[in-house]
Amino acid sequence: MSRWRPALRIARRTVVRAPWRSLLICAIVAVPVAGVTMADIVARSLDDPDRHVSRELGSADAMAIVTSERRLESNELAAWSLPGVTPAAPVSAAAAAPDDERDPRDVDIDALLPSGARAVGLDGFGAVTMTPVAAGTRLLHAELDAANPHEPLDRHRVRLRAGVAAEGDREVLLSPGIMDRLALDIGDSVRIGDVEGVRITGVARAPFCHGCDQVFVARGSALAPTVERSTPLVGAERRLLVDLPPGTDFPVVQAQLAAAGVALMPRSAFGFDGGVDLDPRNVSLEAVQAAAAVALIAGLGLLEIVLLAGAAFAVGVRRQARDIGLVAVGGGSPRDVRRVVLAQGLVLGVVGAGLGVLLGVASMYAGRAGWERLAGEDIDRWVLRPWEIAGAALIGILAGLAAALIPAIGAARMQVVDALAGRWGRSSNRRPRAPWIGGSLILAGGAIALLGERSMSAGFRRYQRSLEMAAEMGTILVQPAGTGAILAIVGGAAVVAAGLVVLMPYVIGLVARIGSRLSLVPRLAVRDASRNRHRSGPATTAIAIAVAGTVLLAFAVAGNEAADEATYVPEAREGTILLRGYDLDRGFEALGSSRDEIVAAARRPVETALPGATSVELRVPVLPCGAALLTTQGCVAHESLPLSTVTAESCRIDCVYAGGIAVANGVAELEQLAGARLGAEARDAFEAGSAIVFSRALVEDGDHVRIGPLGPNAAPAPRGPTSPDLGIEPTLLLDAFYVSREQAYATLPAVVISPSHLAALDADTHVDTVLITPGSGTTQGDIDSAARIAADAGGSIQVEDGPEALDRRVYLLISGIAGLVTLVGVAITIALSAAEGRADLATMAAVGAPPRRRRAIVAAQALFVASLGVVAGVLFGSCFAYAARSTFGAPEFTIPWSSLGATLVLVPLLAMVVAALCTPSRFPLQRRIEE
Amino acid sequence: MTDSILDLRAVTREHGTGDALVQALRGVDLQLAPGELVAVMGPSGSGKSTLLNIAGGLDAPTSGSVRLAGTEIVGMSATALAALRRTSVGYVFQDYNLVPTLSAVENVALPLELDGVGWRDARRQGLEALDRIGLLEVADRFPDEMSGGQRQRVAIARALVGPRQLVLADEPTGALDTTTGEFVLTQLRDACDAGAAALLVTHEARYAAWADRIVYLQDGLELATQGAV
Repeated sequence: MSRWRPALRIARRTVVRAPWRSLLICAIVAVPVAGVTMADIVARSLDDPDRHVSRELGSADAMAIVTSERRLESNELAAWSLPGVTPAAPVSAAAAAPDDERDPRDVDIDALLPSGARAVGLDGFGAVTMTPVAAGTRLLHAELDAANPHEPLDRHRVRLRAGVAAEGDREVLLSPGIMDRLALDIGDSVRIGDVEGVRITGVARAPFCHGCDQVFVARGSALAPTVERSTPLVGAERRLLVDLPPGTDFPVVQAQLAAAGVALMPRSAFGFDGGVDLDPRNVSLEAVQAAAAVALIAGLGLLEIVLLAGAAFAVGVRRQARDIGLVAVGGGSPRDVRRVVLAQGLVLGVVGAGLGVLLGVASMYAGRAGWERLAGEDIDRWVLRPWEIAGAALIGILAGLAAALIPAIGAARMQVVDALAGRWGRSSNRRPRAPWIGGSLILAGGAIALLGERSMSAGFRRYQRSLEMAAEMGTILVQPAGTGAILAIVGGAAVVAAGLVVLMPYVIGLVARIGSRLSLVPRLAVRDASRNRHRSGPATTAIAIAVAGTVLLAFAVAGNEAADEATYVPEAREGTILLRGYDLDRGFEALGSSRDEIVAAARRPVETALPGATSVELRVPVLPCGAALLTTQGCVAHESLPLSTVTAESCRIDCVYAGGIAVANGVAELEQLAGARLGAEARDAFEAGSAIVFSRALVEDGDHVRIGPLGPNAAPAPRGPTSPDLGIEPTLLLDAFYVSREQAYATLPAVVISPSHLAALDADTHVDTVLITPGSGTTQGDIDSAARIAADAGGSIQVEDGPEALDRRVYLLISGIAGLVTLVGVAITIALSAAEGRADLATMAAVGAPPRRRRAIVAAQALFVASLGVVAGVLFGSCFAYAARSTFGAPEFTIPWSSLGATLVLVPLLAMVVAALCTPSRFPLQRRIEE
Repeated sequence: MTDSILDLRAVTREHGTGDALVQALRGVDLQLAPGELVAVMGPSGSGKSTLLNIAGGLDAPTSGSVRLAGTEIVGMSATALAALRRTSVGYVFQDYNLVPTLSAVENVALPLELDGVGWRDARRQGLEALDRIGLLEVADRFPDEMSGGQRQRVAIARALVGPRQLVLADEPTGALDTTTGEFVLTQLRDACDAGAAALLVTHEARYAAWADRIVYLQDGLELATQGAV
């Protein structure tokens, strides 16, 4: 240790003597440490076991559950008290005889609790509708709770943000979301369920659910129990939060309450250990993908730090060459010299990591509102895990040391006389093994990734076939991927990145050979990069890796967009306008009239607003009992359906999702519903009494389709494989004519029947949607007018214009990220080049080079380094995007040309312009050190 | 001469290859006995500094033998040479003598600390060395807070700290005024009188006059020797 002392002393003071370089390295280390610190604190704070308990109990000591039983046995009590176990209903409720049951509301809990204890009810009254007095719409579901914002035991349930607490029977507090969406103010009146004239006294929200639509009433308010609910209440027990006096013997109280049929659950019963399930059988694919992505980002991020900081260190050590020589003259061995440089890495790593932790913690507190908005919850208490934060700091320190390692080795190899003369051997190709090592690493990484790609490609081909087949049916598929394959690709990427680090200096030397054919400025720039590969190499590699990451992201975004397009099930034919008697998108429903009435009222005005429009009603058959009619052949498909099942001939498809059944009055209406002219055979078949079926999966025995009821008053819906006779009456086996279509529609029917079929079923129809085909001259203004008319009537319109295109700004953002990292890398290289090359520039000035020449040289250096890094990064990222293409979900490899183009062209140009603008053209003359 | 502290035999040093070949030293023989101060003179490029570097193990000869206190140092590992420099050889250069990030006493104590001597002990010895040259008051100043003369005297103190047998001084008075230059020579002379040997490279005859012997170099060859051998 004593031999580290002088090294640390020199390092500490060198750091102070070169403040800008030190600041740069510290910043490179500090920023990621700050990010990790912040992420750790947020994740731990949100996942804190105490927080899970507080979510349920707030500050209460226990929860009392008054059951409908008169007594709970000890074994039943134990089930309630197990940590993490929250039975949904009393254990022996089912076994209890009805005669023994009681109404939990009749139990006087205060009389059962020890003296000094307090209990408040956890009263929820389910979902209610909310209607502003002056509005034509209403909110469908808002949770109604009884809670007092001034009650300490309710602190985890309600927090007042404006106004005063609700006290009277017709007073409520509303959550901010409701206030905004219904354009309400404090003091306004609303209708809650069927109760009119309820006054809003304030705005409050649930601290653990900012986005929840909630209505709070005072505990004991007459409103809550009487209001009509939009969903029925379930459960028979009554729950209360209990505050026990200090010194309470919990087991004794628990036993006393159990004897009275009340379960007292301690805080430990709500505990959640936050543990991770390590059983590989329980690890989901998404978890593996996320873990692999985090590992890749963290690993490459660390490499970025090491490369960028390493370049800065390399220059620092060169400028220290004479000091290092003096240490050697004083008897310092190569190991001592290494220590001197490594100690700088240690000092800067410690300072950077420390700053990072401070920055992370400070931004945590400063950005509290933002984090709460992001989490959608209040964060009352930050959880700092010192060891985890120390771990992040340690990684920062190790990154500092790693960045100093290569320069330290170089310094230790330096001849003492060269060091004393400030003469550091120029970078050269004297290490012929480096390109071979680098090339081998890249090939090995590529091979590993290729293995991963191979193992995924089989699943990918199946997926492509499935997508084609599923299009007709309108089902959703999950893209294939394998854990091992993902890990292989990520591992391969890491190995290739290591290869790039080794190979890049050689590549720079190789490319720089073109320098002799260039004019003066680019020649100087290229040769500077080549002769100073200690800095240009790491910086270029850092740029390449960062660009590769953003390129991969661009491919992923483009792939996801293509996947969305491929799996998109349109509502109707493109361009069709759908007029509906409701607007569920916004959670609102029209009042006072049925959907059919709204559609009927809005149809004419809307069509008038759309010149040249033609329309057809989507008449859906409904049985007198209220049940909808569905095809009963085929069955249910859902997102987790195995691909093998979907691709099989007997594939199972969700009939509702495929479009359902509609009634057409004649061929003309049939073709309007189909959105296309049908063949003569189909028209004849329909006129002859056959139903038209657009999905092969619904055809039974080649020329029949079976339809039957489904709905609240019908028999249970068929699920899973079905038999021809479901035993559901009435079912009807109709002659069917299959018409092939390439695309399924969510709204257009999969089966069209005639009015005679309807009569045979003794069914009626209702119309809640009209399909409008706009005229050719329809403008956006016409559509906007139609939308307003529909909204005024309580309905809505929707234009089917294909899957929502990704905002082009996303691609710009991705290119922007690449540009930012490139600029950082270029800035470091240029700054270091400027620091090292002052004497060269002084010589240039001495021989008559004009001041602007310096800018030109710097710009050319930036262009060279950025171009090389960007090209390498685009190649690297593209290759791995191809290997990982299956995970993007697109049916084919989608190339984000615009993003790649912007990255390849704009980023180097941006780097060049910024470098030129930020470089002063005049500089002081400098004495040349004799070499 | 078996009791020589420094014994160079047929030492040559070549730089570069082909047309760019430079013969810095061409078969130089030189021996230094304990207590002897030898001055080396010659024009620029005559090989004076190269001779000094080879003598201290900072550079390796192309051919020939270099023995330090009886030990052949040609072919020694960098670590072994470093150990030798820590314990037996002290250097003084014309400029850039001190590590700028260490204070005066830390600079003086550096070889001791690198040799594993504890900080307190090394500092004590450093302070004693500074006291001997009358610079105790600048002990905690950094090089950029001292005058050129003070810096050079601190360098002398560093070269003499510990049990040094050989002091190598490369134009140590080049940037100093006469008074300070003579003070530096006095220190060297005193060290030699105390039993060490010193090799002094200088351009100035008045400083060479302090030496027991003067060796003249030109184009890497020893032209003449003045004084007792």
